Amino acid sequence: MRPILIIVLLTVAATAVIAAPLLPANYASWDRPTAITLNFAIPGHLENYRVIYLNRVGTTVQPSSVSGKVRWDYPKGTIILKEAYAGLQTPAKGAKPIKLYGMVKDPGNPKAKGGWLWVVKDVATKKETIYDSAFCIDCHSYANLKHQYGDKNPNAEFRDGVYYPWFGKK
Amino acid sequence: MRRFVPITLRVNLIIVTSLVLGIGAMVSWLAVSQYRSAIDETDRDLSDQSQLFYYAIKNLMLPGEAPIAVSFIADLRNTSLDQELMLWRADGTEAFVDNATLERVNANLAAAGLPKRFAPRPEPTGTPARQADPDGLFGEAVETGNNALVQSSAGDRVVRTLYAPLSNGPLCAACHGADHSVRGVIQITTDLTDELAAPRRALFLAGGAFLVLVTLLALLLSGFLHRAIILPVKRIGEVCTGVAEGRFDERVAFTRRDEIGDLGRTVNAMVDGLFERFHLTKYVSASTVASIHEGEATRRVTMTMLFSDVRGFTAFTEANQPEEVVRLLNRIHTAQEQIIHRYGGDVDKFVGDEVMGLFRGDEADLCACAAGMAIQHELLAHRGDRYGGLSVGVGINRGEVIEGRIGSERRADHTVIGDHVNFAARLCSLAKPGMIIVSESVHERIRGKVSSRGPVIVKVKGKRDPQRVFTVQSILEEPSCVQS
Repeated sequence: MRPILIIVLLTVAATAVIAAPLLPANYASWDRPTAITLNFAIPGHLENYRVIYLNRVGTTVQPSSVSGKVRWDYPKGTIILKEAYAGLQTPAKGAKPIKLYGMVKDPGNPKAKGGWLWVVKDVATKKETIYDSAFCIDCHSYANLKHQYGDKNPNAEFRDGVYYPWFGKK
Repeated sequence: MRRFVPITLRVNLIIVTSLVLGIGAMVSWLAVSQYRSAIDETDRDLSDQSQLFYYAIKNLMLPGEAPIAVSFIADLRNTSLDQELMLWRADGTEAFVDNATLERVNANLAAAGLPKRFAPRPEPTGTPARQADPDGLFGEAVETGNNALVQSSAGDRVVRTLYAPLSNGPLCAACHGADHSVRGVIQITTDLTDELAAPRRALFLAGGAFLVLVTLLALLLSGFLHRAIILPVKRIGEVCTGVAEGRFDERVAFTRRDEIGDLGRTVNAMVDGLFERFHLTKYVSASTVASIHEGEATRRVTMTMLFSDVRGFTAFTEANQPEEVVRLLNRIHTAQEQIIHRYGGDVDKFVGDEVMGLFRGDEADLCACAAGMAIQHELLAHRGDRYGGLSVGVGINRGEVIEGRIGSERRADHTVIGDHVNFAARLCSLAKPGMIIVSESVHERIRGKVSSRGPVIVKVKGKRDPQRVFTVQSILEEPSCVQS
């Protein structure tokens, strides 16, 4: 009887682990890597007001230098979560986002592109979808070049595909 | 009764079924794997090609060299060997066949306060603009940003089509605007017909060769089984049938050193043993043989005993050579034995010139008398020419006797003993040549069925009181026990 109970409990636990969402619900307490109001349209996220969060693991990122070029390699377990609200206007107090876009650092995952899992969560249905095509990484790879967002990456540092990187608490 | 199914058929069925299911399944699996492998390889090729086209377009477009990209795509479409290449805008119209994109880029730049990038130019000439199917995978590629693959048939041709979206990157957005995520879709269609036909042909060839091989194997196996097992088994069956019909001269004549050979030798040994026992039954009574089958339990039974003894035999032995004595005695015993059997009796034993016969059943007394009468007629009819002038006297009695195995551990007879047996022997001793003497108990049971004389009162050894006996003159009613 006891082995069966253990198997059942392990199965339930394994199912719970497997079913755990990639994008946790308690992200509101995380740090925000940028103070810029993201109320302009960009490809991929289009005309949606956006707010970006970074989990604790992500805030431990440190720059390194390889062949004279600065690199920001985010540690495994980093989660960058982007809220997308309906429309570009500032959302009303208490408004909920319509979608959550997530970058989850998991280099060993076969679905990862550029070391990240690219996740989109529909807030209404709570359904998470992993984009394992090149669609997301293709745009985000430009974050490692000079670009027009945030600090514009003037020195073309390697920023691990992150347009609004973490430079520590201001 | 179940239908006769030859072993060769069963074995062949098992082997052929195993081969067809086992190897057939493996061939099918290989065929499916080959098909999937061809599809996977095609998909990888399509994906790689789309990636190359994407990089080429991006690297031509980013510096603002759209006309070169147009020329590049046109060249690819003209030189493409097996694939059909299409470039669609995100709204489903064919790209690079008009100036709509150039005009929009100029408008976007003007809106940003920048100079126009492209001077007015004539509309490109060539094929009229086509429209992608918005309901198909094209729409899915635009919607999701993921590659979409589909396989379809047109007549006898099989084609596979990849829809690969071109993302509107941040650098693209500078000219094309940031209001869309997908710039367009690369469509590559490749013809798989020949690639799929080759493995299909190989599969049919392999399947045909496999069936031919299986058929040949089945025929060879059938022939081998027929020669190695069926024919020897049939021969063993013939020998056994011969034994069942009383023919002991048949033998299995193969000397193989295998299980069948061992079986044949065992059968031959068995036939030899049976033949030996068959001959041994000549030297024992039928009741002895029956006792072997039914057990050797001692019991009291009521039956009729017939004793026959050659008269003047002592003088005959003194006057003739031993060989002649034995030859004639055997001839007389043979005749008596045959007659006793013909009347349903059993020869219990021969003791010198004496025969002891046993009769059982309701008609035993009449059968014994009829047998005694037949013996007397036979010896009388051929007394001079066949039996050396000898004759016999017959005594018959009925009563309860003890039947059982009488003798030592190593040598015994299944026979009967008792006072009634002795009395029958005494009656035989009293009988003159050609005479049949029966006891009163026998006479009581055959009254009216035989012609008899008596009673005669006799005093016999072993009996305190005088006994009433009768002589049988003739048989009036033939018993039913007589066999032809």
